[in-house]
Amino acid sequence: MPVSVIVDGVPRTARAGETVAGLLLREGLIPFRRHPVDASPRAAFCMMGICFECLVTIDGRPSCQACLIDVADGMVVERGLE
Amino acid sequence: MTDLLVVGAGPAGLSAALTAARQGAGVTVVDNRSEPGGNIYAALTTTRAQRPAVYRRLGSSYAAGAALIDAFLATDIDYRPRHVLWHVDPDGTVATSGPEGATVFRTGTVILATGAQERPMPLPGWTLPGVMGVGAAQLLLKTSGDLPDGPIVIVGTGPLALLYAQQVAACGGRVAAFVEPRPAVPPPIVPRHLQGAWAGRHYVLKGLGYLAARAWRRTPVYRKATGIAVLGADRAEAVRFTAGGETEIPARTVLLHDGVVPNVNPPAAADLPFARSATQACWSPSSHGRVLVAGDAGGILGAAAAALSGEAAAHRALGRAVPARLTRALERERAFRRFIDAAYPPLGNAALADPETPVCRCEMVTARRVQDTAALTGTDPNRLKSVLRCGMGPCQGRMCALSVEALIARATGTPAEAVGFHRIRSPIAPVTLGELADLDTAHG
Repeated sequence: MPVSVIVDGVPRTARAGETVAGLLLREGLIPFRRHPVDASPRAAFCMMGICFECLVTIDGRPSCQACLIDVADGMVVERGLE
Repeated sequence: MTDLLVVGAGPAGLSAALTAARQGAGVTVVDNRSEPGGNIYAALTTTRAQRPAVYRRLGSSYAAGAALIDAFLATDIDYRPRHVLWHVDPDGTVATSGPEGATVFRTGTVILATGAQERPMPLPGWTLPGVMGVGAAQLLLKTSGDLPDGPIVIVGTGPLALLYAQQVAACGGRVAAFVEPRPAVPPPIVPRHLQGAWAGRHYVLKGLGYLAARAWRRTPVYRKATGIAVLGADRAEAVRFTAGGETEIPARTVLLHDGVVPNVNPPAAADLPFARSATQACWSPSSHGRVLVAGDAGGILGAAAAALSGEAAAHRALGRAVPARLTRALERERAFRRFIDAAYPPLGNAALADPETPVCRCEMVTARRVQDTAALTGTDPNRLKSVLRCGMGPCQGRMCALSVEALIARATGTPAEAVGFHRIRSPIAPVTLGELADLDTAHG
């Protein structure tokens, strides 16, 4: 069953049971964030919750691991592109 | 009433939980994913039900997890998905962060079945979007049913890389090329390894099949490559390397693989004893007191061995003897692993050849700075950590510790095993102040 997720204000269709990182990668929404030290572009790297490269804001909570969190209908995701 | 807390719902954790529950113990399982299976069998139930074609294409090594997962889901074991482990004490106290906030567990005994991670392979351009681990791309296939953007180039080799290439082909995609880095020490195969190959002959046949299929697909393989770099501005665009001559091939996805190593942060936080594995060039934690280690978290042996090891840990946790059939079966897996370790040795310092590459991705610390600083701070990785901050970023050294250790060893002329691992402090994953303030300590 498709799931609707809003990423940076734009509605996107996700697949049931997939992670936020999976959705962002399929939609070509990279980078996920700019690195706080040198502003270099980053995206999901390990997909298993250890590298912390995929951090995004989910439903207002910052620094969520997009590779571990499943999409949910109505979820609001913001990439860290500032 | 919980007698046993199992952290991790991969093959080791599930098998430990099932074994203990069958013996009448009260078991709680916490896991960071949303369904059981760990990384090896990630999203298996969803994939099987909703993406049956992908399930088929993932093949027998994935479907092998179905029986264990179905058996686990058929029990009434207290299972807490989406719980990230952020604290574990030597006395077995565990804290997690989940959908309902933070929870503290004070149970009799804990089994850490926290699995493995891919060994980081720092090379120029490895922080660019489009660069991932081979295992990471395989997780994308399991959890989303997707292949990453092509052209896909794999840098590295080993069983997982060959299996993934097979799965990509089954999905109608292709791996554009394999770039195999030159190992620091060429693999010596000796008779005892061949005995191991015989013990694991069903694995060997599978592996030879993958190699033959790769040759049949005419995938270019660049062997003994050096000077490997990922090129691109805001994402990976190409891979450049020297193998015979300088070569540049287009790549929108570059998948790195230098084998897997135990995910040592949870056992290190529990202050468990560590032994050095020379052949796998990593640390293997072992059980102590009320905290037991099961599966690849205690040394890489693979999924089948992890399930056996989980079973054995459950017997130990309940104070019972480990059945001899388990010990024998584990020994066969170990013998085969010795063959794989000899055939695909870790790349060693070859992976650290470029001094301007950040080995610490969180704090952007280059190999050169680690080596220069180690010349002043000496062999203690904790001193180096307080000067350079590598190990203090969000990943807490998971992505740099082994590289830093190798660089300290090189700079100080000390063997890596004498350098040791940097201290791991709680919390081992981010937790909010709000969660700490609302802490529910009633459980257990």
